[in-house]
Amino acid sequence: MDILIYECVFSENLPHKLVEVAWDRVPSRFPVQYQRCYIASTLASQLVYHEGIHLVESQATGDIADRAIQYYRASKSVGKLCDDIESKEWSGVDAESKKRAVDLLRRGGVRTSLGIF
Amino acid sequence: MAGNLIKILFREYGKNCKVVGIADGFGVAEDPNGLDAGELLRLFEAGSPITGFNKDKLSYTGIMMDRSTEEGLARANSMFLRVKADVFVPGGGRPNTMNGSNWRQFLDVNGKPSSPLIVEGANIFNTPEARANLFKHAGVVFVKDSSANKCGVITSSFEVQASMLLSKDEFLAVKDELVKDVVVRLKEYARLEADLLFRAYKNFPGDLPHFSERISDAINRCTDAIADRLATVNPEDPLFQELLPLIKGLIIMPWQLFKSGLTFGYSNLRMCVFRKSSS
Repeated sequence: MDILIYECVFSENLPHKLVEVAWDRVPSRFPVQYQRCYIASTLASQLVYHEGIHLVESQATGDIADRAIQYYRASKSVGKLCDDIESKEWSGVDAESKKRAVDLLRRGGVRTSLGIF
Repeated sequence: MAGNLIKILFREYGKNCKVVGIADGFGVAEDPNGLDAGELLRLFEAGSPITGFNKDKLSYTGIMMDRSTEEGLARANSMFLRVKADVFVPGGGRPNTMNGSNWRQFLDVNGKPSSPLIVEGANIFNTPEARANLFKHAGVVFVKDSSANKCGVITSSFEVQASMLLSKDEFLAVKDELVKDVVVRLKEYARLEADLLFRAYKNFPGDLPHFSERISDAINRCTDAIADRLATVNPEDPLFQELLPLIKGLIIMPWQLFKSGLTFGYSNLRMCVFRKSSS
């Protein structure tokens, strides 16, 4: 496997300025294996930095990748839910409680919605 | 590394921060009341070794010595073991400088360490044995090299990406904005690492280097597993397209709207630095 050619050390997305100027060049200028590596390390860092070390440590190696991908999908869905709640009025719920509910969702909603961790 | 650290510290903390000792390949300067900040910054900008320090700028408690004298050599080599500071930053020097045979010299007669915190700017300055003993016998807290200087690795990857995506002229045209953008990201990244590191240290048994290693191991293990999974997934595959926005950074993860509760509020920080000859 040629995966060892690139060290998967990036943990952050591209700087905004690079996206703005050259995003359309990424498919042609970044070798495919480099893109795979980049996706993998970015997703891995986000998972570990948000959920902590124990969540990854406790997974069987064979399950990690698919669960990370599920996690990515769930995080988009929970993020959208939070945005929806924030942008709408909840009758009978004061602003402080609403904010607290959204904060809790943002912090723990992704993990909880998967039901596997 | 050390020069940039000094520059950032004086910029961020001003008079609340003192540099009480610096040693490099040429000599050593020490002052328990703090070495002159302007003079240190001048040396950094000039790329000068510590022996370029203007002696007129030393206070009555300060010394500056060359390694060419016997006393200067002894003082330069033992600076990091002797000088009392709130934090010691190895920013250069030789590998395994603090090791199993000399870590006890980091403690005074009462068993108190020269610095209660060591932030490893340079790699492998302290051996695992020195770290373990100093933590066990004197409670010295280590921020391990892999955590402390991770932003250097990230900066390198941004450089590689910029060189793949932009021509030289394009790069120069956006350089200032790009640098600002990168610095914001590095600060955010350093915050994430510090948050996770200290959160784990506070809530679970183990010393800090132990958690630095576990963070690296967890990220690497997860990265390898995902990279293996994607090895046969090609760019035209829907899964590849679904994940590609991760690179672009347009997907804002829900928790990114959170700000850390961790604050680094130091006052009267006294720092001792071991630096490379001219970096």
